[in-house]
Order: sequence, then structure tokens, then C-alpha cells
Amino acid sequence: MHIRHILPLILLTAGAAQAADLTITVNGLTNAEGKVLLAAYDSADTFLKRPVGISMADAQAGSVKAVISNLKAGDYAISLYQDKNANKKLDSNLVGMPTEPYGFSRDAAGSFGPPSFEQARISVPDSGAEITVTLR
Amino acid sequence: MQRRDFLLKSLASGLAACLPASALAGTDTYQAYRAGLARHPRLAMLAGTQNEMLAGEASISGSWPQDLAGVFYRNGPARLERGGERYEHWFDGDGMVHAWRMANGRVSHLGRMVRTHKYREEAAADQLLYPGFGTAIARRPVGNNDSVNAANTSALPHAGKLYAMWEGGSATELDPQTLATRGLKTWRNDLTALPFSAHPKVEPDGTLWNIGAVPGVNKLVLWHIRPDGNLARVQLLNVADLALVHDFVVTERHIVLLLPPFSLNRAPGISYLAMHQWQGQRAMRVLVIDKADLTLKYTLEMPARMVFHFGNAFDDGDSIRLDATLYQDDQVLQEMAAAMRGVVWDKGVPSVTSQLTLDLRRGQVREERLLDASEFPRVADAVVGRRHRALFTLIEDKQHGMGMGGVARIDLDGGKIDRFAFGPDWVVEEHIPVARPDGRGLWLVGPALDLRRRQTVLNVFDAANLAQGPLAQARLPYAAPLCFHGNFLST
Ligand SMILES: [Fe+2]
Repeated sequence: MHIRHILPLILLTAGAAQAADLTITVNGLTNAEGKVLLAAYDSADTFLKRPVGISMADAQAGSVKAVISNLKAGDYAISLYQDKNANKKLDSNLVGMPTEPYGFSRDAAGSFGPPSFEQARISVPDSGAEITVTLR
Repeated sequence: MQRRDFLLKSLASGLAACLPASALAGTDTYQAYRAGLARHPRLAMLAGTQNEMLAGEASISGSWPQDLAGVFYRNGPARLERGGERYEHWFDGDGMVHAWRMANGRVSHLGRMVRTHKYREEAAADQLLYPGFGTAIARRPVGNNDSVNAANTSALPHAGKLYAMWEGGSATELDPQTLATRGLKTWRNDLTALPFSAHPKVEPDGTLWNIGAVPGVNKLVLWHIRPDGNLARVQLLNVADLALVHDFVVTERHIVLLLPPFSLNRAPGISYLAMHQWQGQRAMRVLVIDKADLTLKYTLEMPARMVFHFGNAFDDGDSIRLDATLYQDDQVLQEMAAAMRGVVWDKGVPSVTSQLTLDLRRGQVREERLLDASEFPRVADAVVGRRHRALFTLIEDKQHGMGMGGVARIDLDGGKIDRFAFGPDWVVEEHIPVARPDGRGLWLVGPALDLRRRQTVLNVFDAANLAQGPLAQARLPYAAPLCFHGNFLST
């Protein structure tokens, strides 16, 4: 792609203006297998169903950083997992119990189920935000 | 990459299948136990150990049978404290697997901690990090059931392998010789972290049956493992209002479970035990499953009871007969929690080992009480799922307070009881029948803690004459942590 095609794109992105970046530090990786996939949701209704922003990062032992870009300022809940075998889904066993590492914003946990959107809710202002999530 | 790649829809139902991750709870149980120990010497049975390994030669009194040869593998919660904190429940501790080796009239002991994920993380941090059955701790996130697997309930040799068993997750494979931890046993990829309970039943031909309860999604896992150790079948059964299920029995044709009536309070931040709310006005359900196709054939009802352990079961025409140790309600769970913080209840919780007759045609359950104040029922390996004549149990020492005080044999034809009580200075652990190689009956083998000398002693009885006391005792120079269950591998 020629540079003169890129420039308008950058301008366009900048023009989307108030769009914020959410930087997520993911801790607790025990190995470098596969990728970490992340998703942002903006309401309880769409939580774990329809993300409004996504990102990914190559796994490495320890921690990795990923950015979900172009979020409108507002409240979000983040879910993420380490797709160790790169099959692009969170593997689970016969009863649906996850068998790959995963996590939620605020390290939220439910009781016999996922946390609610409310439990995992974070605020992302215009200036963007940084959070840390530990894989479980 | 497409957006749908990131969807975690399955997670919503999947996490419901996991044990809950509990919130942080402070604890003064550590100090309370020490204060209680000064008043109740029998509480030494719940001291546990800080050691990674225990090993020693036993000194023999009496004459240890020359032809009693093999390894008696056992398991129990051994690491009950860390960093000045103590678990709220005996079921929470990390498992230590024990191997009592015997041959040529000599006995040795090896005990080794199972190095589970949980144990390794907590050892590295020198702090309790994960929730237990009865303790709400959440210093580290819980991914699935195996994140909190304590591998602390039984040890089973099967098809050349050795497993440390837990109720809520995978079995852990160990080196049968050194007891070094090899890792979680995964029978198939999609069976990762699926509960494989601590009370599998092994038929005389080596066929292994097991259950696993997944209360969050009301599913019961049925496991069928071949004598060669390979997976034959696994089946899910939907069971409404499923809560903790500890044990079950098999006959030649059936799998039978009793479901004590609990409802689950899913409030966040409380322990798994605290979620269990006794529903004494409801019936105890009896599930009868056909081994041939692993489907539910009958659901019977009987009055509410708490139950952990079964002896054995067999088909008897249109009926099934089984023995189980029953409690009026769930108080026994609180009694064990009280003991962990140094409190001994004046009146212990009464138990009774009964034979139940399930009349499948009429849908009725009849109870015949066999022996009050007993627990840990066991039968010989050769009669699992077949008609048995003798049932072995421990008996309580009502006079001297908590913990078991003796052994008993119940003759099911006629009801005669043969028993031996060790006396006030002993806490007796599960004893199991072992077949004599000459085919002339059984021995009964099991440990007891000598409170006065703080040493563990392995006993061998002539199973036909318990009242005469042990034929021989193998005494260790130390106290081994109290176990729940074990199994004997003859060599
Ligand atoms: Fe048990």
C-alpha cells in the first residue's frame, strides 16, 4: 500500500475523535502457547454476546499487553482468554467448564457462572484507560 | 480474524459448571484449634503435617502375617495450615498419599504430599490462596475445578496406575513406587477437569465405575473405565437440584445413588459448604441407573438423610439391597468444622449403618438398621456388586468423644456383630478387608493413631475374629496425618 493511501486512513481515525484506547495488561500466563484474545462489551444485554471492540496479542510467559482501540467514552466489561491451541475458541469440557485460561475486567468472578456485566464494569474516559487482568 | 472468534457465549453456561470462586474470609481458626487441643487431646488427630514427605520402618509387635504382601495406599488432608492460617474444614486440606508396604512380615511407610497446582502455588507463596470445601479464600483466581483440586480423599491403584482421588475434579496420577506426582489424569480432551469422584467402584474383573457431580448445571457424570485402564464410556445425566454427592454403589446391573436433600444458595463470597442448605422436609432421592445404557431407570424416595458412604450393593430379584451409613441431617458437616477450630460437641452426631432394600416394582425403600454409631463401611474386593455376607465398619468411641474408636464386622445373615474397641487413647482410621492368598478368609487392615505416644500404628486382624484384637501391630516412630480412605494392592 502506498503512503498516500495510508495518510487519509490515519486522518480518518483521528477524525473519529473522542475514540479512546483501552490498554489491558494480562498477567498470569504460564506459557507462550497461542494468543490472548480480548473483547469489550458495552452493556449487560450484549455481555458475552456482541463485543464492540476486540484485540489480540501473542502469548508469552508472564504477562502481555493488548489495546482495544476506538472505544467511545463509557462503561465496558472486558473478557479475555488464552487461545493456547489457536482454534479461536475458548475450549471447554463436556459440561462446558472452560479448560483454557480466561479472565474478566476487575478480575470479577461469579458464583456458579460468569460475573455480571456490573461486576466486571470499568469506565473508559475520552483520554483512554489502563487495566490489569489476571488469567484464571 | 472475525469478531465471532472472540465470542465467549459458551462461557456463560460453562462457568456455571465450575465450583464457585469464593471471597476472602479472615480466620482465627488457627489459634482456636490450639486452645481446643489443650482441652481435648483427641483433637491431635487433626494436627496434620508441615512435611512434604514422611518415611519410616515400622517396628512389629505380635507376628505380622508372612503372606500378607502388597501395598496399602491411603490418602487424606494433611496440610491443614499455612502461614499462620488454618482451614475451616477437614475436607479442605491438601492430600498426602501414603504407601504402607508389607512383605515377609515387615512393614514400611512412605507418605508424600500430592503436588497439585494448588499445593505448588500455595507452597511458593507460603500462604493459603484458594478456596476449599468449607473455607472461603480468594487470593488467586479460580479457572475451573482443578484450580482448587486438593487430591485429598482416597488413593486407588488400578490397571498398573496409582491415583489420588478428589471429589470435585480430576484424579491425579502418582508414581506407584515413589509417590511422586505425575499430573492430572485426563481420560479424553473434552473430559479435562470433569469431576471423577473419590469413591470409584471396581468390580472383581477390574471394571471401574465412577460418578462426578456438577451441581452448578445439574449434571451427573457417569464414568465407565475398562479393566485395562482405558475409558469405555462417559455419560451425562440431568439431575434437578444436584448438590454434593460423595459416594455411590454398583450391582451387577445397576448404579445406585442417594441424593441427600440440599438446596444451593448461590450467594457470592461464601464457601461451597455454606452454599449447602439442608432441606429436611424433602425426601432423599434414590437414583437407579442401568449399567447397560447408562440411563436412569427408577427414582425412589425415602425420608431425608445425610449420607457419605456406602458398603456394597447387589441385585436381589426385583430388589436391590445396599448398605450405607446414614445421618438424620447435615449436622455432621458442622461437627467436623467445629473440630477444626478446637470445639468438640458434647453429644456427637448419631450415625447408623443400615441395609436398604429398594423394591423396584413397588417403588418403595425399606431400612433395616444394622449398627448404630458406625462409619467407613467396606467390603472385600471380591464381592463388589455381588451378594456379600460380611460388612466391616469403624465404630465410634461414644465414651471418649470424637473420632472413631474401634472396628466391627456385621454378619448380614443373622446380624451378629464382632467388634474390637481400642480404648480411650486411640483414634481409629478406616480398616479394609484383604483376601488371604491361601483363600482361607480375610484379614482386616488399617491404621490407628496412638494418642499417648503420638505414633501411628498399622493393625492386622483376623477378620473372622476381631474381638480377640489385632494379630499384629506395625508401629511408626511418628504420627502420620489421619486419612480418609485407601485401597490395597496385593503383590
Ligand atoms: Fe469418603
